[in-house]
Amino acid sequence: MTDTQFWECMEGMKQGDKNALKAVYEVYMPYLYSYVLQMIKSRENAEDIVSDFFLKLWGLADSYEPKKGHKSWLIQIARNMTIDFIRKHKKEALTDFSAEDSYEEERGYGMAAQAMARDAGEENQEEQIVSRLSFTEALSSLKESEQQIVHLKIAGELTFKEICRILQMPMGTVTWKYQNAIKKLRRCGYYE
Amino acid sequence: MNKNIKDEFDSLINSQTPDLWERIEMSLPEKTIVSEKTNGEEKKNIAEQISPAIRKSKPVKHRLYRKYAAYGTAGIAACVCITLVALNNSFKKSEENMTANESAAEEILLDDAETEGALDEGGFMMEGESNGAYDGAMEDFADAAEYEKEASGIEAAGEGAAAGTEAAEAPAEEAKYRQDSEDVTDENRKEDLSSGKEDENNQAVQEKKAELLKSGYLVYEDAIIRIESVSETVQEEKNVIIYHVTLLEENVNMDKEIKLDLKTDELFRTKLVEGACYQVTFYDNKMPYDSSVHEYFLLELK
Repeated sequence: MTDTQFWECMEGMKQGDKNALKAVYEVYMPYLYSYVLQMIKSRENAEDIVSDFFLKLWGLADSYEPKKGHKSWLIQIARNMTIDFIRKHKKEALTDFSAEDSYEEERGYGMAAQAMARDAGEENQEEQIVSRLSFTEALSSLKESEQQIVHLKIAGELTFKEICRILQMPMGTVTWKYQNAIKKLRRCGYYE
Repeated sequence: MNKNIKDEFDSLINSQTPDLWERIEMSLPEKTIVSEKTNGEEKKNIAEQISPAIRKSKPVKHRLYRKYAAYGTAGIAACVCITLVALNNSFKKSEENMTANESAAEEILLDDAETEGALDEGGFMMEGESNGAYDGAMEDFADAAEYEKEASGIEAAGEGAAAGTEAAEAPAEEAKYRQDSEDVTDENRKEDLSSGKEDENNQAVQEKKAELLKSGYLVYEDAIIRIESVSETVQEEKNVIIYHVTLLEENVNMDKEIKLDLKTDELFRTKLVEGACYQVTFYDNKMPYDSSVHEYFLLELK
């Protein structure tokens, strides 16, 4: 969706057109949900946050002014809402280990696989084990900040400058972490 | 096994995305839809409602016009005369006093007094001298004038309305001219005061530059800056393109465009102010980014 198309949708929302909101929802909801889930590690909470996000966007349409980079604007809002949610429910976010919905469970598999590889003591065995990891497990092997940067850069298709602004990091830090993350993913058999 | 990260992300996102639209739609608050068509139709309906009322009142206003026609005609003639005299005086004065001064304002005040005296001698009733019948006649006459214009196309009615409007505008123009005279006088005084402040600013800028030179920084002045419009809510940095930069010691002509992020601790979220000094960090657009090539510059905006 281009900036112009997005602005037209916001104008429609200002007039109370729900179809305009749905158009934005269909384009950006999957990515925003994925990004929030990656931060919050809980599907139930991610659904709540994303639902509240679109309700907030509906209200923001009244005061929206045309600008460049609407995508990073949306992500920034979603990120801020997620951070607010984490701060508010700090204990709940850290101890969410429900068997069906937990994202941490998959991460646990990845960490166990890496531990087995290290114990094996042979590089070839380690490479074989690591290469068979799922994409989710490969992502979980990254640091939190590396996961966010890779997510924003590859899935979100943002520029480094937009990522710097969203994460409030210097440009050099962002690019260095991104390169490190790509190296780690390559070891798991995933390439750009 | 080589897999594409982008494809893996897409499949991951599509696989884990729930359908939240129904939940969102149920919670959406209703908004009042305002459209041009709706407003147009409303206006049309209101006009249709008003017009019958006007038609009903016309016969009554027609009778009132007949009753007060003599007074109205005299009023129109007087308004026209006053307007002509006032305009003639104001044009003469404006030509003689192109550069504003206090004596011009006094002359205007004197002219007003003479005009008022002439009106009093003529016995013509102005706003200060109330006459209920006359006031009512003027209002009814204004309404009847429109009706007469439609019915018989009398030009005097239109001229009377115009004359009344011009008579009201003449004093307003004189008041405005008087205000403009005072404003120019004030501006002259402000210019004298501001020149002293500019000198102080220039001295402070020069002192700051000297300090930076001593510390080993490169200092640029006469930098021509063009600021791109950027949303302040999302992007707090300002992109600045430099077209020409001049060193204090020698001229440096930079033909290429350089994009800068203006970053200072104090001014990070502040609008750029013309004539102010900013500390700037240059960086290479290439990736990866190397912090060792940075230099700090002091720029003066023109």
